[in-house]
Amino acid sequence: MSGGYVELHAKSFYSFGLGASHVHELLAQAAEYGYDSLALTDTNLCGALDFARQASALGLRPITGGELTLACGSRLTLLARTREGYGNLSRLFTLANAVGRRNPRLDPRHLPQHAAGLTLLSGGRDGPLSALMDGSRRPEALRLLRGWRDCFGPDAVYVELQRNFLEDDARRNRDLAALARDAGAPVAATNDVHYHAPERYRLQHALVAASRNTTIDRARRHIRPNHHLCLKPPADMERLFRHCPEAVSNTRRIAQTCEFNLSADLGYRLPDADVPQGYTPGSYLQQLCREAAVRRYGAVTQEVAERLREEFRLIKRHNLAGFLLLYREIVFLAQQIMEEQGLSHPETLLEERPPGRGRGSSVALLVGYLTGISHVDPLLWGLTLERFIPEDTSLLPDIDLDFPRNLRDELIRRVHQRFGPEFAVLAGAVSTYQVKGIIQDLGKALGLPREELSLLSKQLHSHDAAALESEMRELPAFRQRVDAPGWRELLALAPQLMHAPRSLGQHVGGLVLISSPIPELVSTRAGVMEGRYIMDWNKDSVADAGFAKIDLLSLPVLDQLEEALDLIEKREGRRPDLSSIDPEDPQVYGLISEGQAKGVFLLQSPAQLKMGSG
Amino acid sequence: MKVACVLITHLRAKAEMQRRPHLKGQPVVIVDRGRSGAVVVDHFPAAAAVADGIPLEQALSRRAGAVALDADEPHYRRVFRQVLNALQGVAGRVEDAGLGVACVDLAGLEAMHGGEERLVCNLLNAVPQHLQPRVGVSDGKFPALVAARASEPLRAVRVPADAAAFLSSCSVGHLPVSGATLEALRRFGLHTLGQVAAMEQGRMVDRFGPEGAWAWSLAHGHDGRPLILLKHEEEVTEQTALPFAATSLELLLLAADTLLQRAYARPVMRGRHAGRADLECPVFGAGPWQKTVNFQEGVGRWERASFIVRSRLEAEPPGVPVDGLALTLSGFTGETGAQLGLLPEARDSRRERLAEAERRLQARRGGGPALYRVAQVAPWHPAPEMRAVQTPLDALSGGIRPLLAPESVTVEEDENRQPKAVRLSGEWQRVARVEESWCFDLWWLPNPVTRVYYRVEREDGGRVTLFRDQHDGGWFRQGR
Repeated sequence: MSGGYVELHAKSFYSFGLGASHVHELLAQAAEYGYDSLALTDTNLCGALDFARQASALGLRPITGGELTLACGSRLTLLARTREGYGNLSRLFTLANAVGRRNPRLDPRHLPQHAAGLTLLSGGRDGPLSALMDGSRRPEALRLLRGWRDCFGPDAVYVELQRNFLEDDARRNRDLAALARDAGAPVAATNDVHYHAPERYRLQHALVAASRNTTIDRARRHIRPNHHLCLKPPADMERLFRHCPEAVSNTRRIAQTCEFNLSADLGYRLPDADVPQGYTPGSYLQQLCREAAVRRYGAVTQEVAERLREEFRLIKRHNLAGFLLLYREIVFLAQQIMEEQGLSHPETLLEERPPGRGRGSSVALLVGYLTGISHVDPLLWGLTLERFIPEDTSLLPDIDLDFPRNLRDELIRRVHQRFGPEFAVLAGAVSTYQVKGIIQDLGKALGLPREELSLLSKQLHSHDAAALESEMRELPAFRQRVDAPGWRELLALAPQLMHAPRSLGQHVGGLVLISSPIPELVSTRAGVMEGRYIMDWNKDSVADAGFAKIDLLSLPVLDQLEEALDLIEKREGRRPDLSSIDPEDPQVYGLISEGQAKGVFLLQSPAQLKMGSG
Repeated sequence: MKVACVLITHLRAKAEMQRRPHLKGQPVVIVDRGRSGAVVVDHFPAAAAVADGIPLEQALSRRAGAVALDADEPHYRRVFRQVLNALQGVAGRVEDAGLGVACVDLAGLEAMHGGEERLVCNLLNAVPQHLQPRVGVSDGKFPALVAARASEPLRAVRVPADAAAFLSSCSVGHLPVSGATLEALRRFGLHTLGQVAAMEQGRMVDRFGPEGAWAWSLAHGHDGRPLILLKHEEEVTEQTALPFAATSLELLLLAADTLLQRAYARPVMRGRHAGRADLECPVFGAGPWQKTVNFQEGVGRWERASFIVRSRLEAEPPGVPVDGLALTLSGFTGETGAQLGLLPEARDSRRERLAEAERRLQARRGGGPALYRVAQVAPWHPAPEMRAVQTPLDALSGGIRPLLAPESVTVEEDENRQPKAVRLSGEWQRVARVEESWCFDLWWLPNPVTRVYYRVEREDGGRVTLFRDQHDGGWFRQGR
C-alpha cells in the first residue's frame, strides 16, 4: 500500500526523446516502492495499452493519461477517469497530431468539447499557468483556471505542483498554490517522472539532445539538469510536500476516480459491412458463397454444402461475417483498380480472377475461395478448417493478402478514401534502438566526431550494446577511446538504451478497419505518404486490443505473374486459371530438379537451385 | 645560386606529437579520409612498419594496435608556415617547396652571418627543434634536396663541387619526375642517378621524352630552376580566454567581436583591409576547432568584418565546448572602395558619445575599463555566472568576464550538510532558515560542474544564495 501518494505524471521511452525508462521498469520500480496505482502520461498513446496490460498483470491499477502540448508550447496532463474520458483523450491526441505529425500541437479551443470523463492537471513548470505567472500575467492565469473548471468540472481540475530541486521550484509552487486558492481549485503533487531511477538522468539528457539533433550542451535549455525527475518512494514525496499535505492526499483522490482500465474496458466491436436490405451480414455472405459455389463447382455438392455449413457455424460463433464481407469489399476495390488500369474486364467475376493472393492459414477457408479472398481451393487440397480458426480460440483469424506492388499502393489509398481516416488506418510500427542507432544518437548528443561514430558502426559485429566496450577494445582504431571523455559516457549509457522504443512509423501493410470511429479507441495521425493514416499502436498492441487487422502486403512476383498471364492470354487467347493448374505436372518438377528455377519465387536462391538439382 | 634546402621529414607526425604529447611512443598512424577511403599519410616512429600511402586497413594489419588519427592539414600547414616565417627572418628569400620542404637563397648572406657555416647553423636554429630539420646546401635546388635527405637530423650536408659524383650513387627515386617515367627508368635498368648521368643526353630524350632530358640534367647536378619566393605575409593575431568553457554561440560571437575590435584598433591596420580571418578555439581533449573566413573584398572596419564572421559562425558553430578564441587577420590590401552613408547614423553618434564618456571615466580612474556592455549568452544556463557576461566598452582595455561570479565563503554545515552559519565580510552570520534548495549536475562538460544551492535567510533578516561544489566540497556565495 502506497500511503497517500500516487504518481500521476510519468513518462516512458514511448515519449520519444523525453522519457528514459521502459514501461516495465517504471512498473517494477512502482511495485517495489509499494505503489498500488500509477499513471502513464506519455506524449502519445503508443505505450498506453502495453502499460495497462503489464500493470494489471503486476497487480497495479493502471491510470491511462497523456501529456498534450498546446499550440503555445506549454503542456497539460490529462487522465482518463472513464471510457468516455479515454475516448476524449484519444480524440485530443488525434486533433493535436493533425496539426503536426512529428510535432503535435493542440488548439486549446478543442478542450471544452472533449472534457467529459477527463481529469486535468495543470502541467506544473511546463504548464500554461506557470507560463502566464512567469510572464506576470496572473489575472489571465486565473481566468484560464476558472475556464478549465467550467469545462471539466470543479472536481476534475487540479493545479499541479512539482518539486524536482530545480531553481525556482519553491517560488513557482508558492505562486501556483496561491492561484489555486484564489480560484477555489485543489492542488495535486506530481514528480514529473521521466525515468524510473535517478541513475537514468544522463540517458534522459542525451535523448533530449539527440531528439533535437544536437549536443547536450546545445540542448541545455531543454534539459532538467539533475536526477530528481525519477519515480520517488511515496514517503519521499510526502516529505517533500509536508507543507502542503492536501497536494499529496489529492493524488489518491484522483487515482480513486480514475476507474477506467484500458486493458479491460476498451470495448472494441468487430467491424460490420453494408448489406442489402433484408439480409444480415451472415445471410448475405451465405448467399454470395452459394452463388459462387454454383459457378465454381457447377452445383452446391454435398461436400461443399457440408464444408460451408461448418464454416458458417464458426463464423457465426466468432461473429466474423461482417469482417469477411469487409475483406471482400477490399478485394472489390482492388478489382476496380485493376479494371481502371486495364488489367481486368468489368464482366470478369471476382473469384475468377482475384486481384490478390491469400496466403498462410486463411487459404483453408472455402468462404474465402468463393468470395475472391483466396485463390486456393481448400477442398481440392484437403485443407482443414482447424488451421484457420480453431474452435476454442478467442483470437481473431489472421488473413494476409498479397497484391502486386502497384496495385497495393493504390489500394491502401483507395481504402482510406472509401472508409475515411475515422474507420480505416494502418497499424503503427514502433522502431526500437539497436546498437548502431544507439551509437549514432548518443554519440551525436555527446559531441563525438561523426566520422568516428560511422567508422565504429561499420566495424562492429556484435548486436548487443553491453558488448560494445569489449568490442571497442578489440578494434585498434578505437581501443584508445574506451576511457576517453565522451566515449566513456557513451559506453555507460548504451546498454540502458538497448531495445528502447525510438520512434513511431508505419506498419508495412497492416490495415485496421473498425465500425466505430478509430480515434475514440486510439489516437491516429497522418502517415509519411500522403493519404495514409496510422494509429499510435503497433501490431502487438493491435493484437492485444483484439482489433481485426488486415495485412495488405506487396509481393513483386505477383506483378511478374500478372504480366506472364497477360502474355499467355494475348498469345493463346485464353487466360489460365491459376487455381486449376495441375500441381502434379511432371514437366514442372523436371525443370525444378534440373535446377532450372532461376527467377522463380521461393525457388531461386542458389541453395534451393542446388538442392533441386542435387 | 647557392641554395639551402631545409627539410622536415614526418612533419605531420612531429606536429601531432607536439600537441598530443600523451601519444608519444604509441604506434600512431595519421590518416587522410578522402573519397577513395582512409589512407595513411604519416606515422609515428612506433609505427615504423607502416608505409605512408597505404590504406588504413592494411596499416592496421601491418601494425597491430595502431591508433588512427585523422590528418589535420590546416594545422600542419600552419606549423610549416611558422617555419617558413622563421626562415624568412634569417634569410629573406625563401621558397615553399611543399609541406616540410623549404629552399633558401643563400646568395650574399654569408658575410652578414659570419660565413656559410654560421648561416646554415642559424637556419637550423630558426626551426623549432622538435621538428628536427635537416639541411642540404648546393648550387641548385635538386642537389640541395638530395643532400638534405642524406643529412642527419639537426645537421647539414654540403654538396661538393662535383655534384654529379655526389649524386651518382643516389636512387633515381629522388628525381622529381612522373611515376610513369620513374617506372620506365627502372625498367630500362637505370636505378641510380650515376647510371642516368652516364647515358647520352640524346638517347635519354629519345627514350623518355622531355622528362628524360630533365632527369639527365638533374643527375649531372644541374638545376637552374629559380626560387619561387614566398611573399612575406603579414598577420595580425589577437586572442582571448573565455570566462568558461561553453558551446554558447552568443559568447563566441561576443569574443569574435572583441578580438576584431582589438585587431582593427592596431596601428598596423590603419588604412589597411583584411582579406581573410582565421578563427581557432582550443578544444579539451581534442584538436582545435578552426574556421577560415575569406572576405570577398578587403574589409577595413571591424563592424563589417564582424557581420561576415558572425554569419559564418552562425552557420557552422563549433559543436563542442570551447574556452578560448584566437583570431588572425591576413591577406592585407589597401582600400578597395568604401561606401559611406549619406547621413550620419544615430548609432555612430551614440557610440562616439559612449566612447567619450569611457575616455573621461578612464582618465578619472587612472586607466582600466570603466564602462561595460552586458550580454546574455545563455539565459537558461543553470549556473548563474554562465548566463551573462560583461565586455568592456573599450575592447582594448580588458577581456570578457562573467557576471555574478561565485565568491568563496566559509560555511558551517549542520548534520544534513545544510548551511548553519556563513562567514561574510569577516563575521559569522547564523542561518535562520533555508528558503529553497536546488541542484544541478552538468556532467557532460569537460570539467563537470555539480552544485547544491541554498537560498537562505539569515538571522539578521538578510538573504544570501550559497552553493556547495560537489566535486571539492567548497562553499561559494553567488550574487549579492
